[in-house]
Parts: sequence; C-alpha cells; structure tokens
Amino acid sequence: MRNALSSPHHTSTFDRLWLAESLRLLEEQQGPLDDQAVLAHLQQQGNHRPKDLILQRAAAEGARLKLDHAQQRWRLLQRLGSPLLALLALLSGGLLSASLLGDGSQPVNIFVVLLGLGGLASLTLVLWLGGMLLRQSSSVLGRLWLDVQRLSLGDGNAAWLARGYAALLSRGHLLRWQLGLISHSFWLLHLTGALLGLVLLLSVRRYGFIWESTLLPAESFITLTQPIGMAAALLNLPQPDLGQIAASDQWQRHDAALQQAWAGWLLAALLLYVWLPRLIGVIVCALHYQRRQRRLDIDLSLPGYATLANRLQHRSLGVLDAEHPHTSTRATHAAPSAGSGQWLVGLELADDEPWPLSHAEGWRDGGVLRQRQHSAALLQGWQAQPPQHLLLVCDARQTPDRGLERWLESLANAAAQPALLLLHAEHSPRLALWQQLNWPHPRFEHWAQAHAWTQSA
Amino acid sequence: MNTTALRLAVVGHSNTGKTSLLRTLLRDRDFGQVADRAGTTRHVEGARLSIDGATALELFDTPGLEDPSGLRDYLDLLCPSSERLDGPARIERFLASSEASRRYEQEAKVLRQLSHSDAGLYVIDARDPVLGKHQDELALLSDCAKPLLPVLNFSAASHNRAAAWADALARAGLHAYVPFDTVAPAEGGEAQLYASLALLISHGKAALTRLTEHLAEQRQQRQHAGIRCIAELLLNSAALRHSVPSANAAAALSELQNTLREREQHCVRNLLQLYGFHPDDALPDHLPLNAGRWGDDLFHPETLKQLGIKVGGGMAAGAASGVGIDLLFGGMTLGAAALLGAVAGGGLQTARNYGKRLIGKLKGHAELTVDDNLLRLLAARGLWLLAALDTRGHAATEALQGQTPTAPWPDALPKPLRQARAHPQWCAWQEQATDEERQRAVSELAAVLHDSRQA
Repeated sequence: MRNALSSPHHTSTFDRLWLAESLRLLEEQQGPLDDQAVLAHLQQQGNHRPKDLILQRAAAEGARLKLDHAQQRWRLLQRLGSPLLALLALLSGGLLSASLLGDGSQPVNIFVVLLGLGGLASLTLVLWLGGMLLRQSSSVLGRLWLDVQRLSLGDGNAAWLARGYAALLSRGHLLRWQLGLISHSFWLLHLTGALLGLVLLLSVRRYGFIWESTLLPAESFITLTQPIGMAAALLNLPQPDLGQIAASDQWQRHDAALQQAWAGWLLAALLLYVWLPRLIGVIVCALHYQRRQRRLDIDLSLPGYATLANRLQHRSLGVLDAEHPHTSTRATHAAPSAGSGQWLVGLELADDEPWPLSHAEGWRDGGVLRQRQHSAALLQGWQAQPPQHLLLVCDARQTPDRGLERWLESLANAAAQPALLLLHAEHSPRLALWQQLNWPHPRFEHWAQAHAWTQSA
Repeated sequence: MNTTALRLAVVGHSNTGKTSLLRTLLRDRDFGQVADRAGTTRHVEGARLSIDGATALELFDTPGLEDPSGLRDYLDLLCPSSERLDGPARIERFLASSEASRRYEQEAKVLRQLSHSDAGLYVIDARDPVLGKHQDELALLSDCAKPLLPVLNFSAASHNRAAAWADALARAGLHAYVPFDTVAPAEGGEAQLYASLALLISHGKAALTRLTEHLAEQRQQRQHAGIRCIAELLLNSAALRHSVPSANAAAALSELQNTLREREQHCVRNLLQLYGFHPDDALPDHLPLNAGRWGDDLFHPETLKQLGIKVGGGMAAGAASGVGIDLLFGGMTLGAAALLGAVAGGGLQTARNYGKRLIGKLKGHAELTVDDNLLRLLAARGLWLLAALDTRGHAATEALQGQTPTAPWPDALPKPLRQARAHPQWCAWQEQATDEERQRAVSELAAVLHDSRQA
C-alpha cells in the first residue's frame, strides 16, 4: 500500500503537506478545483486513509497547476541562495573586522571594535528574545528571506504556494522558529566571519589597543573591562590586569604582552557573549523546528479538509448482482366475453379505510382483500358466473409492486369488464408509479368516473 | 484487512427508503445514482464505511421484494411440508430453481445477498398498513436465518402505523426494532441503530462500537470545521477595510455590502457541503434557509431586530447599512500601539499597510468597515445554521424553530474580533493573511463561538 502512495517525484512529506495547504487556501478563496479526473483515478486505487487521499489529490492537482515546478523553483532558489547568503554573511563579518581594525598604523579603540562587532548582533538578539516572549514573530532577516522567496514565485497560481508555506508553518507553530533559524544562522556566520577575520589579522599584524573617550571618565572603562574579562578567564586566554588597563589610555607601542592581553580579552568577549548566544539560538530554533515539523499533519477539522475527506472517501463496492433484463412472458387468458352483475373488491386497503364505499349502492361487495390467497374463494365463485363489471379499488398512496400487478391481473382475467379505482389519488406522491403499472383496462381516480363507466357500457 | 468487515444487507419492500437509508449511513448523497429508474433499485449495490482506510462495515442495497406472496406460494410448491426442510435449505433450493433467474429474479437477489451477509436491516415505511404481503416477506426473510433488525422509517410522520408494525414484527419473532428517519434522522439515531445491531451480532460488537466512536469523532470534526468557517467569515469581516475617496462613499458602500452578502453565502455553501448537501439539493424543512439562501437580507433593519439586536436611534441608519465609516483618524487610534509593535518586530507588511492607510487619510479618503452589529448578526445566523445542520432530526426541528437565536456579545465584541479591527492585513479577502497571530485569533474566536453555542 505504501508503494502506491509514495509520490512519483519522491517529494518530502513536508512538501506534500505544503502543496495540500496551498490548494486548501486557493480553494477556500476561489472555489473548488475541477478534480473529476483525479477523483476517478483515486477511486480505482481502493481504500486509503483520508489524509493520504487528500495528499494524493493535492499532488495530482498541484502537478496540473504546475505548482510542483514552482515548488522545485523555490527549493532551487533555497539551495542556491543559502550558500550565497552564507558567503555574504562570512565576508561581511570579515570585512567588518578588517575595517574596524584598520592597517595597524593607528591605535585601535578596543571598545569601538567590541561594539562594532557585537553591538548590533546583541541588540537584535535581545529584540528577538523580546518578540518570542510577546509571541510575535519578529525576525527582520527571516521575513526578508521569505519575501525574496515569495517574489521568486511571482503571481498567478504559484503565489498560493507562498501563502500555503506561511500558513502551514504558522498552523504548526513553527514559522517563528524557522524565521529565527534563518536570522540566527545568518548572524552566526557573520560573527564567525568577523572572528576569523579578527584572528587572521591579529596573527599577521601588530595592532595597538587603547581606550579613549572625551565624555566618559577613565574609571568607567576600568570597571567595564573587568567583568567582560571574565570571559577570557573562562577560556584561559590572557587578559589585561588593572595596571595594564590603566596604562592603555595611551598607545603602548612596544608592550607586546599588553596587546596580546587585549586581543585575548576581545576574542573571548566576542566568542562567549556574542557568538555563543547565537549558536545556542540556532540550536534551539533548529530543535524546535524539527520537532514541530515532524508533528505537521493534515488537520481534518479545517473546513476545507473536512469536506475533502468526506468527498474523497471511496465507498462504492460497485454493482454486485446486476439486473438481467428479460421479457416477461405474460400468460394470455381468454377473458369471459360476458358476465353479470357489478362487483366491487378492495385490494390491500388499510384497515381504517371505510368499507364498503359510500355511493356504492347496486354493487355487490367482494370485501377488502389483504392477502393474495384470500381471493381464491371469489375467483372460484366467478368461474361459474363471471362479473360483467369488476371494479378493483386500491390506495394510490401505497407503492404498486409486481405482486399486486399479478394479483390485479388474475382478478381482471375473471371478469368481462375490469377497471381500477385509485383512492386518495390527489394526496399521493406515488401516483406516477401507478400510471406506470401494467394495466390495460380503464383506470379511475374518482368515483364519478367509475359510475359513468358502468352507465356507458 | 477486510476479513473482519461486517456485511449488512439492507432489505425491504420496494419504495420504503432502502437507498435513502444507505445514503444517510454512508453520508454520500450520490450513492445509488446508477439506478436507471428513479426510486427503484433492481440490482445489488455495495458500499463500505471505513475507519482510517480500513473497512469497518460493508452495506448492500438490494432490490425491493415485490412479490413475496407469489414467491412464498412457489416455495411451498418447491418444498412440500412433508420434506420438513429448514429455512436455509428452502432458500437454497429456491435459489437453485429455474424461477430464481426468471420470475423471481429480483427476490432471488435479495435472499442471496442476505444469506451471504452477517445481518439484515429490514426497512419499513411506518406509514404503510401491515398487509399480507408484508407477513409473507417476513417469513421469507426469516427463512434466511440471519439476524434481522427492523428499521422503522418515517416513524415520526403524523399518520404512522408504528404500533401495528411493532405488533406484526413481534408476531414474526422480531422484538427489537429501531425508529430511524432515513432522510432526517434524530440526533444519536445512528448510534442507536448500531447499538441495536451489536445486540444481534455478537461477533460484530467490537467493530460496531468502534464505528460509533468514529462517527462521534467525525461529527465533532464537522462541528469544529463549521465553527472555523464562521470564525473565518467574522474575522475577515472585522478586518475588512475599504479605503475610498469620500465622494464615492455611497457607491463603495453598496459594493462592500455585496461583498459581504457573497461571503456569507459562500460560508453557507461551505457549511452545507460540510454536512453533505449539494448546492442544488432540496434541503430538509427545518433548515432556516430558502433554496440554500437566507431569506432575510443581511442589511435589512428588520433582520437585526429579529435576532434581538437592539439598535439605538442615532445608530439605526448606520446599522441598517451595516457598515460604519471610520472617520476618526482612519482607524489609527485602534492600531497605533500595534503599529509600533509591528515595526519593531519587523512586520513589513503591517508597516506597509499602515503607510497606505496614512496616505489614504492624507488624500481625504474615508475608510469603510463592517459594523459591530452586523458582525453579531453574521455570528448569530452562522451558529443558527450550524445548529440546524448538526441536529438533523425532526425532533430537533421544533426546538430550533421555536426560538429565534439571540445575537451573541451584546456588550462588546470578543477580543479576537477587536484585534482584527486593528489588523487589516488579517482579511484574507484582500491580503495574504497567513501570519501566526491571525491563526491564533481564529482559534481563539472559534473557542468563543463554541462557548456561545453551548450557552
């Protein structure tokens, strides 16, 4: 069964769900697609779970609307775009480091480097955290990336894919994790680039680190430097001691140990306070994303899917015992040419039907027969003296069946002039069935007609 | 996989509603369409009820037993009483006889199918009088020696003969029967039917219980889906904003009204489809619709009054149009905080949206929004229809018609709708409307609607 279900393009479960969601949104807004052909094909395959049927239908309809191509385009863009984006992030980080450090001919303000490399990254991280706490998806980079991908789909049918993508992710509560993953990854690469650039430049050039300010007093640098320096202590990297810090308000051109201490301090702070949180962010987002993506499924309590599940469910087992039309041979009996008397017989009338009928003076009462066998006595009597007029009375509200037809026939054959009177014809929704009845004799719906018939004969 | 499926033959006299019963049990309005003559099935047709792709029940529609009296006579001829054949042996002999493929071909199909099934559902039109042919029919069916559950169709009709039928059935040894209206079954009627069946077929008990549970689950899913339909309609309406030059406001107003009428009709269509009605179906009497549409226009003041929505004098004109013209800062008052949040959070779409609105405001455009009272009216009508669809039975009819629904939320709109007012981008008719916050609002609104349904 699984083989029949696996789609020909080996698309992932996520992509199939994505397609189904896109089509659901499309049909919700623009009305249903014409899926007769797909439906017929699905029904041939027998019994499947409703969810599988919905996915299969989506795959087939998506292919018809060329959405599968658009999906492949989207994936291609992702495959080509992500390395480019990664490269961009790395390069931008490296370039930022280089531009902040300069060529070593000038002293470098250590706090400018720290803020320049880690400031924006930390600020956006704090904003992201705040957004997550307020349950808002707040990732500029992630949104931008989605917008770019959306633009790649253009308008028309494929634009529904973008909607479907966002809707599926939001429904599974993984949109913000994915957006977070994108932006954290970008920042992580950017910071990696910056750190690599930093290490590279610090290895091949000699820089002089100082701290300087016009506004701030010297003590504030000293008090700020020490807690930041705990990172270096943790990583076992050199860091400036109090004396070195105090001395760094001027370029100590020949003190190599001091510059090494500052370099260690800078690297450790960036690595531990900026780079590591981003790494944790990437890991947390990736884990959440994976866990929630596995839980994605067709939600049958969504209006579109509920209707589809009902419609796609293959129920019919087909016609098992078909009708074999054959000509029914009708036994032709020679009806008596002449008889005497007028007989009135009720057939299958309900027991609350008044009997004998009013205005039936001058008629001989054959009674109401509710069982076929009960007509035997009457028929036997009529063999010797057949009736001239025989009026058979039925209730038009009941269903005439083949059994009644045969019964009427057997009674009619015993009389010279048989006729049928239908009671309650005006109240009967089944009158049309009585008109289809095989009855070659007169048929009345009112007593007056029956009366006229006996008079004219 | 299919070996455990129970097989049920649906038998009975012609025109008692066998095919209708199957359509109702299968929730498939199209079942039996192959029949060449409307109203008469002349072949055996099967269908299955599945749980998650596994067949739980196989149901077989059979032709009507049209000439049971003749057949019983013929059986007596075939099997003289001196041979003392038991029921199944008599049926077997008949099925092998020459008339089984000629005069009694139709009856043979019925008896053959019943003999191959686990049980039979014997459908009776309770309005018909009990006649000799019915007694013959019962005798023939009991010869198949299969458990038989009589199903009294139309037992809720005013002139039914259910008592006479109960008596006749008891005389044939059938003491358990279920009333079941095949077109508009009472709430829980289906569960009762399967429960009664489970008493007759001991080996099918587990399967039938599972099926009943599955049906209850599906019903709940349908309810949820229905409520979501209504929630989407309301949220989209609340978020809807039409920015128009003040001079064209009148024309835009009627355009907006038409949009809303269409969208409500769209929702009605979806609900009907959800409950298995075709757009061109004749609907059961108790549904508060005329030919699949609401009789009263959405924007008629009388419609509001009927649902107990009180409109103050000064408000009357605006309420009748159902659309408020939001002149106060173009709705910016509601959304300023959200705007800040959105820009900070990077909701580019949101920011774009506000930009557009601000420009519109500067150009002297008016913004049209949907009135609170109209939202309440939409909610009331939607919930009313859903309740009517959910309890399809005639018993529920009176309960529904006796009370006109009162519109929910007399004091203030629920929070998700108030939020939607400040988020024009949530309106799926105009925008992408796929963000997570909107989805949360829809779910919350659905919960609110669910609660007002219970109340």
